[in-house]
Amino acid sequence: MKKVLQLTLGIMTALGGFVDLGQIVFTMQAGALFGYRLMWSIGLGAVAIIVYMEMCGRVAAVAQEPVFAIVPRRLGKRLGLLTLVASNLLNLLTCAAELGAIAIVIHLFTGLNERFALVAGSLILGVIVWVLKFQWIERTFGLSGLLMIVFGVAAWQLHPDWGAAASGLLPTVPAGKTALYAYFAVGIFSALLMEYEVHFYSSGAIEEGWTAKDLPENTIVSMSGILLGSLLTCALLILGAIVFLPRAIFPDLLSTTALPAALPFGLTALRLALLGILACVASAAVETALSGGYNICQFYGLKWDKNLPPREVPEFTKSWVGTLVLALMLALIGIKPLTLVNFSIIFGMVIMPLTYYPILKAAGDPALMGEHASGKVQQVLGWIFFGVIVVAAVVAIPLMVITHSGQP
Amino acid sequence: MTPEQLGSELRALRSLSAETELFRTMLIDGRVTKRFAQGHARYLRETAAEHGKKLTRARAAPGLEGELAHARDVATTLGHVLDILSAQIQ
Repeated sequence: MKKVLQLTLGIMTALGGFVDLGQIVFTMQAGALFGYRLMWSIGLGAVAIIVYMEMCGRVAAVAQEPVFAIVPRRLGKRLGLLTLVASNLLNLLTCAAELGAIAIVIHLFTGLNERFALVAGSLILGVIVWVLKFQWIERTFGLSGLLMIVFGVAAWQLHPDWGAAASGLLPTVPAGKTALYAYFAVGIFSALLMEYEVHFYSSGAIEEGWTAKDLPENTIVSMSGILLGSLLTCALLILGAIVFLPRAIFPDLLSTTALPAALPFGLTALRLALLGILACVASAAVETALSGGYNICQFYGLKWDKNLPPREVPEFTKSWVGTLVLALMLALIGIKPLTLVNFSIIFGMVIMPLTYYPILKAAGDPALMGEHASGKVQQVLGWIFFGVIVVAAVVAIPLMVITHSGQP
Repeated sequence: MTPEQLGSELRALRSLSAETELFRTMLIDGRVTKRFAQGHARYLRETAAEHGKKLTRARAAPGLEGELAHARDVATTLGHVLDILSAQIQ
């Protein structure tokens, strides 16, 4: 049973990490514009995040070093500090967007005023994270995120063209829409590799007390969580292709993304879809808030542990609570969550090499990892994906400008 | 407003109109809850109003006056349809 529950770290990391507000809307939009043609970017991103999540879990288990303990040593103090500031800014933006999304879902579910739902939802979330130990946080959010399976069942029920879906695993650029296609490919790839996933996963591995003995679990946990998350992402793309593309609908609202689940099954599926979305966006808000605390404490060598009482880890507690409060204030200004998350996906892509390079170097370092250093295949895969990350980082902002943030 | 911007606005309005039709059908079929319907209708109405405002403020590039006027009409009609739909949901 304990082994099964260990999977929840991978599931929460994946569901909160990349099946979040940005991915839900972005992927459905991609399906609505290009049908199955961007399926390959989900596959590419999924393999990349499996490779890197396994690496950072391995480094955490063997060297007991989470990502932001490695960053300053591999990048130097100044570039490391820049990475810390950029990563925490990204966490803040994403957390604000996810809090906004929580308010929208609560409003759609209960009819409560959206601003009240925003404050109440954030407060409840803060209390949950304050009270629960790490394992219970991951179990609660990881397992409730499984409600998103309703989208997978809906996609299955609507009878997709499986041949066309499979052919989407190879890139085919539609004529006259190259920039928009590239923008969505980069966006999906970026959303799958958002930095806070690896910050949270490596910190979680240490919270759970993983050692070199847990390396087989690390492989299973990272692969199973990502596999589930990427299958659900594929389902979202399929729903966009089946429900929205033929009707020429470009889904630009979070509430629109719940409709495809209700199409084959009705009210119960709609409620499950809303709860699933709520679990995923809440999970992402928790991951980003906690990552804010983890990053600062790991960078400066301060004590951090979610399983200790808050008074024993004051800096860590202040950092994650501060992230949550600042994110709430940002959300209260009234910037649309989708505008925030759109920006965070592209900004996240731009600074991504600064997170993944230190992981790649640390995982392959025999002096640090001993016999558990990355093998040849892992290193080659890591460098190939790092090359893809660098290319995507370079083109992300020009694509955002050219396509007016993905407007068709 | 350039031809590309106007084209983008028209595509957005067509999308919103198609979405309104899908939503109306699902509403009639009893596939959405009342609270969801109220909330979603409000979001659709706000989006239509934003497009309407943007088009009202816009100045057409030479030769595009007719197209811009058409887009404004579409936004106004869509706004009315969504107002009626919202009233019916209440």
